[in-house]
Amino acid sequence: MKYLRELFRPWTWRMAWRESRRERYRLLVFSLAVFFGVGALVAIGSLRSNLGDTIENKAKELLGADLLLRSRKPFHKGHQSGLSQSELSGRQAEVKQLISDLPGERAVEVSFMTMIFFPKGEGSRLVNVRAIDPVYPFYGKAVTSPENAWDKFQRGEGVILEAAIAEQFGVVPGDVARIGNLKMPVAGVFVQPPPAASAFAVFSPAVFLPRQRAWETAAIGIQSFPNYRVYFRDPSLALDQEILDERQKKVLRRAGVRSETVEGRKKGLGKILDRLYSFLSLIGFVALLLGGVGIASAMHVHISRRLRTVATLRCLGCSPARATAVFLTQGMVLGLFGSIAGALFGVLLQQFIPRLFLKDLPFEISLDLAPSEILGGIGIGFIISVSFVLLPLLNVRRVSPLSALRGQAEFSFRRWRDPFSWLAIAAVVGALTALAVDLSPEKKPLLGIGFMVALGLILFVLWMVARVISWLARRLVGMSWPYVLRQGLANLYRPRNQTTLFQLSAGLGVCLVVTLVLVQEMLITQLGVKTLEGKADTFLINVRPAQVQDVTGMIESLQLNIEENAPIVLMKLSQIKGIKLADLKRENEGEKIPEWTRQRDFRSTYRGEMIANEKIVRGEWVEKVDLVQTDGTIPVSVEEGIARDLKIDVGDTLTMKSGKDELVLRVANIRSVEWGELGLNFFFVFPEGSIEQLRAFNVMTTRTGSGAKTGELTRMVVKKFPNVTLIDASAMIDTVSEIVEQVGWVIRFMALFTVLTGIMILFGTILSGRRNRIEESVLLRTLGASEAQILRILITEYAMLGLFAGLAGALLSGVASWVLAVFVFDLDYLSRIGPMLAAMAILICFTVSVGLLMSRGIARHSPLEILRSEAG
Amino acid sequence: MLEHILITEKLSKSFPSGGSELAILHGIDLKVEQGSTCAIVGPSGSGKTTLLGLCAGLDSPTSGEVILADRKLGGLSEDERAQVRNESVGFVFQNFQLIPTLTALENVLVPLELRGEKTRNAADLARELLVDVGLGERVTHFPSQLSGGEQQRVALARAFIGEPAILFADEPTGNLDGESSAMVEEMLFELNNVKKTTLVIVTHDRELANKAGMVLVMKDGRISETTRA
Repeated sequence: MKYLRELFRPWTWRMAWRESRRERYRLLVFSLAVFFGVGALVAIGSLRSNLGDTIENKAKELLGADLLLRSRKPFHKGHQSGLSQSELSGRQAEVKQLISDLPGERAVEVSFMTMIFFPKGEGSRLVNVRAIDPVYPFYGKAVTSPENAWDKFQRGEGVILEAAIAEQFGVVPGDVARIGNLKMPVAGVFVQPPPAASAFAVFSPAVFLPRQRAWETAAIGIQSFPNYRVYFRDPSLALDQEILDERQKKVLRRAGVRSETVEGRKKGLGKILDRLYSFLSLIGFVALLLGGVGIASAMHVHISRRLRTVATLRCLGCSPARATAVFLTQGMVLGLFGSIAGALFGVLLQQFIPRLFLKDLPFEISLDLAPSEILGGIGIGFIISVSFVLLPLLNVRRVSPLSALRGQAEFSFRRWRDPFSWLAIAAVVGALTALAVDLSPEKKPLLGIGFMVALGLILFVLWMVARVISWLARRLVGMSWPYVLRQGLANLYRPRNQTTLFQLSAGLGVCLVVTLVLVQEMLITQLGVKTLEGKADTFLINVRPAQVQDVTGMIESLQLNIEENAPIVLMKLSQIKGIKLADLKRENEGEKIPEWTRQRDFRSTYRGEMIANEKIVRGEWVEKVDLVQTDGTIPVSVEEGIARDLKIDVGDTLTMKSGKDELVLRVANIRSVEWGELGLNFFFVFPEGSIEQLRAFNVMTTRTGSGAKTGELTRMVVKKFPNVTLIDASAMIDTVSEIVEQVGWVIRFMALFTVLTGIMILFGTILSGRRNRIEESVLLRTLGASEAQILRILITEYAMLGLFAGLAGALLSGVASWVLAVFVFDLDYLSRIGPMLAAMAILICFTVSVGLLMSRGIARHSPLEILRSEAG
Repeated sequence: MLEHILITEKLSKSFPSGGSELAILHGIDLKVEQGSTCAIVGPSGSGKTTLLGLCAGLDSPTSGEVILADRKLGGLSEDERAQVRNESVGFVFQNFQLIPTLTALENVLVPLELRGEKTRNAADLARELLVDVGLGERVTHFPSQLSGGEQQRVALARAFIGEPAILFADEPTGNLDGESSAMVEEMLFELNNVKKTTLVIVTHDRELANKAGMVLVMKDGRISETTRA
């Protein structure tokens, strides 16, 4: 309490101001150590607030409706399921009744994946066709070019493309587009499209088609992954009023229909934003922690130079609390100054980040000031600064007034014996951990604590490296070494050296940035190399049996091989171990089986051999079956995951329905599948001689190795067979890689703040050592050293500092990236020396350059000139 | 008015050294009258500075007692000792010990500011004192802009501004040339004469010591001789 009391005395502030004379420039440089960290937090926080407000204000436009119902199965008459009323299950009939009971307007949509073909240039690609009623969106507006394109669409006179498709194929309004069997003119392109239907929109851009024309494409079927939706608007709804009650939600769930409200979409987006915000904030937090280390170091050096002053004040009657308060005041002002400056920088950054990284958002963000984030950033920066300043301040308490008599003051106590030190350390660690928990995703304590532990370990290792460097420099340098080298290395362990601070700041910065680069490279490499190396990169789906030969010929005409040619049979589960699905729960056959297995249309195949990414876990593989011998029962291979879900094992029976046919199956083996391998993988594989007559279509794969060849194959196949869909896996992986790359850029941008903080500390550290260098230089010049010799000493010292910090940081990044790869992202670890060496080289060059810049003039001028200029 | 401003009773001080205790002072008994001048002389390592520090309350004895301005320093906390120093003690150091970032005026003001006195009154007083010591034109100068003698005169002004009951001077002329030394000595004794401040000076300078009313000769941590003028 007495320390706090002293803070309120005017003399404390007066003395703090006076006492900082001649050091203000250097102290201000150090105060900017928190500048970038605070700036990052404020920028990210403000953007989060802006995005949150935008989502809140435009929530209805994000969904385009008050309620969305969606399913993989048709559930509304507008979905034109083709099924008769009698074929609708009880549950679907319930849903139909529910929908007709709901008030307000509705818009119906059927979306499916298929190929679009432009006869003009014979261009073709996979698109997501959204056959939708033109009253949608109910909220927000679709903006097109030309402006009347939407009117034409509403009248059923044309399709509207996303701009990317038009750009890719040079399509203009009036050109013809063929979707399946349907040819329609292009009415226009979207300038601002309606809300995206799903996250997969990033892989295949949308084409809007009048709903009533959808079935003329003949492309809607299980092979085109259709989705059925109904949008509702009820203007009488209050803002947060629920449209569906619990009973209605249950009906929908049972029928496999999902509902989404405005609130749900807001929450979903909000959750994604929160996670991203937390992640980026933690990176900014690292920069801030580093800044705290910088400020602590500045205060330590500052106080160590002021010990005689403190001793004198103590003699004159200044209490320990008051003397400490003077320097605490300085520390607080430094922290506040740096935090406010950082916050202003953050506000500026807030204006630029969207232009760099958020260009493609479907809405405009209003970049307003977010006072709570600004104040919060300043507060966090201030707390961190003060927390770190506390540790060196503990020394002030213990300065003996007797030191004034003896003429030399020094820190005279061992920290680990001082209970106040432990209290202060505990308070600092506690405050920082609390902040880390607050910033971590979903404010999970374990994440925050884990983050602090990891950071603490890294800092500890870097500190140990600094100690080892000093020890090695003392032990290993021999008298036979050249003097300039010896002197440069000796500066690494001289009193008031910068080795530890440099290791901590630069080492941490290198570790963080190189870790991010390595992990990102591993992610991208894994996607490309692991997934596609030597494997098929083009998938042809819905090849009808009669088309297989022609399609094979087209593939082979391009000197390509057929990698796989799998016949597909569609089937649904009807019984497990003799019990109907509907009766399973009643019979208490263990726990419920997952709902999706009841509704799903399983795409199964038949073949004689296993493929490379399959392995038998239990049972025997059956190549071929004679159904006469087995009395019609078909032995089937079941994937182990679905076997677990269905609670079946070798010997158990299943019944499946394929169209009107019923198949009685016996589990012949349980098979493991490497689902991560891109290929044709199946839950159920039948032997030859079992279900050939039920074949619906084929899926064929080939390896083209180039986008041009894929394009050529696509044009050839789709022109003749519009029902065939071609999926270019490498293009999808490229898209994912691009997204990963973009996210990587954002993360690296944030990590840059750590690097900039390290640079700031580097400047300040070298500036702090300038006096020592001057003294040394004066002495050496007096003894006859040349300018070149002095420069070589400086270069040796700075190069060694940069080398050891870079090496330590690079090695730590190797460990950190291994931990992240193996335990977090489940990747194969790839060791890459390139980024590590590059980081080391950059750091060495930079350190030497800054060091020489800050030491300019020391070597060139006469000793007396230097002493006079420094004294003045 | 007190008869004795400073009393020590069996004052001893030892420091830990290599696992054992190194005794610096051995049972010093001392009485200094108020308003008197006392010089402590002796060879290097005899314990003069240690004795000075204990008497001024800068350090705590291993055993024994110091009674300064009628207050037993032994039972006081660090803050209380600081208060005693601020109210009753002035210091002049061999190395001047001016605060380098404060001007001459600001250095002189420190004791009064610590006491919480109003700044304007204190500043006027400080200026007067600086004029008294011949530095009226140098009030805004920093220590680095002053010569050794000038710095010591500023230190003198600082020592006297609080009108201390006792002033401790540790080798006040140790770092000065002859002319400056003479000036400082003269000021010390004149201020003692005018303000009746008790003066305790540690010095190697026998001439200076002989100007004091009492001379204590220290040897091996003991007072070997006491001479009164």
